[in-house]
Amino acid sequence: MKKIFYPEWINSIPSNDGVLEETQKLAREELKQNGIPKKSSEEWRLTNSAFIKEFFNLPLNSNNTKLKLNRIDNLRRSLVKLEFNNDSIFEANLCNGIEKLSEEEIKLCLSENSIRRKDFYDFNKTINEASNNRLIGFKINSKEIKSLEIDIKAEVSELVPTRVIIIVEEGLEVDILEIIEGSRGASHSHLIEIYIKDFSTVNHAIVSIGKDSAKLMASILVNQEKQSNYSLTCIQKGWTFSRLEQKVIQLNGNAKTNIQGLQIANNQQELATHSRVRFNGPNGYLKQIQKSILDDESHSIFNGMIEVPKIAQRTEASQLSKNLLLSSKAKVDTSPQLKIIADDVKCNHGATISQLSNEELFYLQSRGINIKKANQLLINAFCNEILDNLPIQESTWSLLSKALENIKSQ
Amino acid sequence: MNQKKLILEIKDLYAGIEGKDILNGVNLKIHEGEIHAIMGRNGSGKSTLSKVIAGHPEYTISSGEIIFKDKDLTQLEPEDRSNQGVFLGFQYPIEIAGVKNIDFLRVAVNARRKILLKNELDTFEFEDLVEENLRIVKMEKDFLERGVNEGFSGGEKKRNEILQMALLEPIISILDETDSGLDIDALRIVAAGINKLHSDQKATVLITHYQRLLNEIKPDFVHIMKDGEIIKTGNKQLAIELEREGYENFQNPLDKNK
Amino acid sequence: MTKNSTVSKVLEKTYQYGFLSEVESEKIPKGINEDVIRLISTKKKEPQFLLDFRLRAYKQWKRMDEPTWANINYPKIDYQEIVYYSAPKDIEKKKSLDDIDPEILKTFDKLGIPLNEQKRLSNVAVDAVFDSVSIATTFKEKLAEDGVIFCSISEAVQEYPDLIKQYLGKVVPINDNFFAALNSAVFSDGSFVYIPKGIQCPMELSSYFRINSGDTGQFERTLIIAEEKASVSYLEGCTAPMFDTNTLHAAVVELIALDDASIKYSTVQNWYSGDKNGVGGIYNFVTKRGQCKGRRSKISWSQVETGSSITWKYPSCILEGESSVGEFYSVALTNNKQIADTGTKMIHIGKNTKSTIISKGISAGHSKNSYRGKVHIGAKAIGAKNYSQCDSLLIGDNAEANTYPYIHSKQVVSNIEHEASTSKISEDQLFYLRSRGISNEEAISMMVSGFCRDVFNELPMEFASEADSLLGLKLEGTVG
Repeated sequence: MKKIFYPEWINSIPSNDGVLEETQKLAREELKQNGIPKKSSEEWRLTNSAFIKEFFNLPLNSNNTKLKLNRIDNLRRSLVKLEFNNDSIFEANLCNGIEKLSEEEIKLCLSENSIRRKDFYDFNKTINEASNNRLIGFKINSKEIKSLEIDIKAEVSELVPTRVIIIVEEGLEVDILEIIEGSRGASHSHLIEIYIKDFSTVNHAIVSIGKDSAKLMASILVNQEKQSNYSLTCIQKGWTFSRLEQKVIQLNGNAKTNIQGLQIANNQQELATHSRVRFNGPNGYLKQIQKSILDDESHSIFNGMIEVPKIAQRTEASQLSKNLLLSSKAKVDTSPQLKIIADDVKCNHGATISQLSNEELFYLQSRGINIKKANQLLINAFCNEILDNLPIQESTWSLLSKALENIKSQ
Repeated sequence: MNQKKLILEIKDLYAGIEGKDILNGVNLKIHEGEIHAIMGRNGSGKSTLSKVIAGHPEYTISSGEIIFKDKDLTQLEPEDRSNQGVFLGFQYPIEIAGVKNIDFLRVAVNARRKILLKNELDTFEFEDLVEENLRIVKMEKDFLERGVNEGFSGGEKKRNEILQMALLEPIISILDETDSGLDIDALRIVAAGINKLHSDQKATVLITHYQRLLNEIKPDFVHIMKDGEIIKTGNKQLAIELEREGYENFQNPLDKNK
Repeated sequence: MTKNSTVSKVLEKTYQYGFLSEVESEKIPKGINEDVIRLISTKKKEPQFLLDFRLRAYKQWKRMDEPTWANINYPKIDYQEIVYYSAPKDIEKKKSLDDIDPEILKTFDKLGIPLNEQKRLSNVAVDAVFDSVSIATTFKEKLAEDGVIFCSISEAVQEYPDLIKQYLGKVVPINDNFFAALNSAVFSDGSFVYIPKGIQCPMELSSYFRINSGDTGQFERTLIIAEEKASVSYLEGCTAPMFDTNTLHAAVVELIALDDASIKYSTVQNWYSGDKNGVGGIYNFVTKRGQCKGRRSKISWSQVETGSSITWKYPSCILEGESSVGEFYSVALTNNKQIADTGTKMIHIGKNTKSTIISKGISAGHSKNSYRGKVHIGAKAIGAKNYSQCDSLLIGDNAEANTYPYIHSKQVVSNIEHEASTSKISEDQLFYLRSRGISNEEAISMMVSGFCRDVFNELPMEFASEADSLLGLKLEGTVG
């Protein structure tokens, strides 16, 4: 007899009788069936399951999630305040250019995403769908909307599920910044889906900062239509446990994707990025760079998969994982993987694990810079390659600047 | 004077790449013993002409003929054209890592020798032959042990082209911008090599921008190409005029009539 | 269109080692159980410790599941349908080459491995293994002058039981994996090499494996020990006839290098790969592992994998001794419906250990070629260094090339670099070669060899040219 997975916990989650009902039912069933992913599965073998179990010991956040959606024009912030706890989020203060998704549209998105493959158990997503009663879904359909800010902040020891669906209509250019903050034992489960239509550009950044044993599990699902540009920058710092899953699909190829990531870990933190980019058409482009800095007894994981099926001729993809170990007790696992069938492609990937260069340190010291400062300079230089590439003007984003201060003061 | 034999005749050649027309009716006759220079601006179709003659698979011929020693080349594979004695000196010789220069040269030479009904050379015989020819281009032996053009400087690549020309003993050599990227000393070495390899039974076609190469190698004919056509043919004097007055002053006579 | 047809023409090839020799053989009944294991052990007159070893392995194996993690799909193997021991008739009685079935000698002649004294290679000692049994080992006496032991493992069990007892199963434990456990239970023959202290083995040692019968599994076992300051270069070659059924080959190779010792192990694997439609061929599921036990010891694997319908192997190094060095150089060429999942594990345990991985995969036809490798830097491996380079070349648009590197580091003072690329044969390079009169076929073959150059440079001289022509054969349409 198979033991049912956390039955009390699952049964204690209020169920939804609206648009999410069906998804939720399915997800709960799946969660009951499969439970915590097994160590034997490739995607989860490196994850410390004790961290995941803690998610199920937390009460579910019911109504006080602070999720703010800000619209920013010309350096001025005009607030579009969206809160999860009532349906009015869909009506309130939506400015021109942002339109709430109808129930039908949401259903369509959910069903497209819910075609579950039997042999693939998407735990990150399932836990979100099983527990989540709220969802923000909207589309951007005007050039007026240049940048959006989504703030998600949790400060109590609760499980906080959030889900955002964004459709970016044809021919637009939008910056989307998400700032996820967690403290005092809060555990986030965040799911964001972005559909980018033809000829649109989306610069997406997720700056996630945790403290006081906060945890984060997030999935980023992006579908790119042709001639679209998508750039993603993810920063993880300070979480006791965080796991970002990125899945980008170029639906018809002929699109550009840039992915940058930075994981800064210390103490006994475990930070992970699992990314999967798939080219479902020709002439696709991907450039990915993932960096991690590890101190103390921390653990960093990167698992990157690039899939180039036969249809994806003339794909150009590169992937690089760079890791800086600062402590002899820290550990890195990195696995940049390629799966290629098309023959007319240019793909390469690389990985390095190293420490700060003694030569470089010595050079700086010989110029009168003390060792601590020299270390700091080199670490900053390592981070800057990612931070400089943040797609968004730092100055426009007060929260971002604050978050970056936090990162640079490592 | 004896009637000189016709080596290459290009008849009303139209060709292009990916649906774009580049050659728009090229006509050219080359006899044995002749040196021709084809000059023109970037994009005039000079390099395309050389690649079409050598059979580059990316170019399509829409009409016209390339007759080499009474045979139409247009349907032949590039290797067959080479084996018959057509040599193209590349403007940008490509690097092929891992394939040793000497192995490459030996396979190429033996393929040509087969057509010439000469015996195949073994490794030792071939080394002797190469060493003789290295002197022509003043190259060191260690070039042979490296990958084909791998890490060669611009000048070394061009000299390697001339070395191949010497070894393959072609009937016609078409040298695409052989002078580009060379300093004056390297230019002299390359030009001396070309002069040495030219003979009464062979023909040489120089494709070039500038007339400086023509100070070293004296052409019998100079052709000016524009928009995929040869718009003017003259002697060495034409190259000098061109250098002095620039391409602007040379119009397609047909355009003028319009 | 013309281009595609020439490329595919280039890829058509026939397997020139696919002939079957008419040799009378003695087989035991199909299937595996304790009695079969006892029978094998009795036939080989083994001491009790070895029988115990086999039985322990068998017990472990019964409890284990066939691994599925590599996502390699093949029809389920029925382990009761395999013959676990097959030997040419009356093999025990034969004392010299003259007594050996001339058909067998002819077989090895045909394979280019002449065994009789007039014709044999002058600088390579050969151990020839036919189905489950070692047929002959050349130059044994000459090697003995230096104290080098080179013989079949069955013979070593009789003559040097202490060495076998001391080292067998120490690098690859009997429960290491499903196929290693099976091999430990039923292994038939293989080679044994012992190089005493301070000796540089005066000639190349080589084993040649030939599977002749169709329903017999090949479970050879190789053990090489290099004592302090000893060195040896060992080559291994393999072929099999064409059958339309699949034959299992599950070998185990263990290498041990003590202080300052070095072992170079080269393989040219050309088992029958099945036909164009993937019917038949060898399942090559092999466990190869070397232990750099001593300081400054070195183990170098080089392999050219062109055969087998499925290859599944990861020759590995456990870098235990301080400043020990592990190397892995690999070329894997797959065509038609072949699958190759190969790579290495470099386990850095000792200080200042170094490893280098160079892997070249070429996939053509409908084949699937994967590099799977692991670099593990342990917490005590201060100053460890690894460099990995994995390149894939795709020919035709139905082939698959995958790269799965796993890198794990717990050591701050270490350096790991991994690079990988996937590309196809460049049209411009192809045109350049063709414009010099080199045929399309030859040009592709030259470029493939060029692509593999870094690895071929690591092969012993005799092998390098063999590997080159083997690749040529696989790629060329014309086979003599």
